[in-house]
Amino acid sequence: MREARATERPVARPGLEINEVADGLVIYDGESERVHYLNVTAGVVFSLCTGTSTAEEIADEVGTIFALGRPAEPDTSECIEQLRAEGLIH
Amino acid sequence: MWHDVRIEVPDEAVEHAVRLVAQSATHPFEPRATIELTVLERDCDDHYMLLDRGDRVTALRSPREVLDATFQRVHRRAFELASLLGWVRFHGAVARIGSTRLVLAGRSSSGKTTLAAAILASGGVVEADESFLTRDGRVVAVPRRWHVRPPTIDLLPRAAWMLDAPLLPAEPPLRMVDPTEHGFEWSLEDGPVDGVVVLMAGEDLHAAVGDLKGPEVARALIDESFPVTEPRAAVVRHASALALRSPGYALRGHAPSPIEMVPILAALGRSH
Repeated sequence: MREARATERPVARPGLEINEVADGLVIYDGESERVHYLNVTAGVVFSLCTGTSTAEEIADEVGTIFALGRPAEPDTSECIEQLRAEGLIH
Repeated sequence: MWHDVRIEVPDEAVEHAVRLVAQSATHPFEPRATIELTVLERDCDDHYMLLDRGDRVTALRSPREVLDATFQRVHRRAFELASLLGWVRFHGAVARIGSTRLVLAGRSSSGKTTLAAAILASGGVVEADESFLTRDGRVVAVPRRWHVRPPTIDLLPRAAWMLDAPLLPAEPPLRMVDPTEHGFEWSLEDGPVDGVVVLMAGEDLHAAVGDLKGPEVARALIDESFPVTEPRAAVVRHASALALRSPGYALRGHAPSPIEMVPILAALGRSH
């Protein structure tokens, strides 16, 4: 698995149906007919993949949201890679 | 629920069979449509003929086949209309303990009916033992006679009255229970629930209830959804809406007696 490069600006794939639930997201991919269950952290990372922020900036933002006092690395990069591997972002 | 169902039968044997699926639950809906089925008396080939509004549907060899065919026909029409009205059906019992209304979700044979019977025996109200409809976080139980297998009655001596319910020859045999025939209330609500309790598999003789995150509640519902005509996206959307609006819980293990589970469940509504 390749690591998310800090300069990439990941963005959610169009056409996904995103459903908010308590403590996460449930995403339906009509193309693959798969359902993805994201916990709070993955849901936050996914929500920040808007195409405007780099992976590095997303890690900073996640660190702020969860009051870590530091960028949330390497967890954010791994999460972005997993979301990409699942076809939820590109 | 949204249908007025009328079935004309030719003899006592068919009437007896069809009564096994008739039920007396009260609910807040007005009928929107009528299902009119007629069973003609045996013909020269010794077959009954099932008609739907006068149209010949199928020939049937026995009252039991009439029962199965009418049940399937009514259910199909009922759930088609429910789907058109925006409802999606999932596996799960619905029960009220005091002011706490819960969905008890879980796969077939996970203990929903046994737990429902324990709730009823403890003074609660059971709206359904098998399935419910949901839309935008609201829940309506699907009224169907309970299908009670022998182990439920073995586990729950207080439910021995179920032995008086009509028996459906099957493997295993099922008692077809309408609680109103035994002096219990059976009324359905249309509204939110105070929690979705997912019955997890396990043989542990120590029951424990813990919080369950929304994605896992949605997964449990979606994994056990019925084959439906509506788009799968709708199934995911409505399971998610329920998981957003209702606290989720996981029930692991079993208490030595199902009755002991009821106070644990009753406390859930007070914890949020």
